[in-house]
Amino acid sequence: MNLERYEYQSGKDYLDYEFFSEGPKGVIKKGVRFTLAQFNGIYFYNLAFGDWSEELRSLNDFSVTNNDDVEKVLATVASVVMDFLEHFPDTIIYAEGSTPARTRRYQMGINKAWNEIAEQYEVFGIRPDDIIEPFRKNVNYDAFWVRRR
Amino acid sequence: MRAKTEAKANTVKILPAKGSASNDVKNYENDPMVIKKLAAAMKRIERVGFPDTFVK
Repeated sequence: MNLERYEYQSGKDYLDYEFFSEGPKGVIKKGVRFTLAQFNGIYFYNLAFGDWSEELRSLNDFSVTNNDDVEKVLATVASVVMDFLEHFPDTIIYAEGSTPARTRRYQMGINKAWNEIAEQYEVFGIRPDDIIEPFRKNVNYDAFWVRRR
Repeated sequence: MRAKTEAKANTVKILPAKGSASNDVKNYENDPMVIKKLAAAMKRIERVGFPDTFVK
């Protein structure tokens, strides 16, 4: 079974991505940004993802879209991550949701495609007690580290 | 064998990249949410660091 996902577009530098969620609430623009940062001399990209808000003129990661397409949106973000790592194969990505519930959603997405993800990517979870461990299904994490194998 | 087949049936596949590069995509580098997310990430990373295998 293949996960359905939206078509997306990336910026020319492959750091910004956009796609449109379509559902009962209408068409909602989503944005993903990978921001380069470093800590202790190690460079990584931080993943930020949210709905574009015309009102705020900013991305918003607290908005609740209710567009009945959570899985499709998550699969699209996963696809974006894969595309990004195609262009930056030796980099590390850090990702955390804006709320524990959203982080759990990311986790559910990873769980669902775990067999395929594990073949190609190393994924580590950061537990609420700050322990970093190789990703395990059915464990709650606050954030994730991902890189290509 | 059956268990293996069932496990495979329950596994979903993320299709390869399905997109294109465009000049129309906004640059979110200075987006307030992006800046806020990075600040939150740095706070946690300063505390927990990287997986051991990433620093070797």
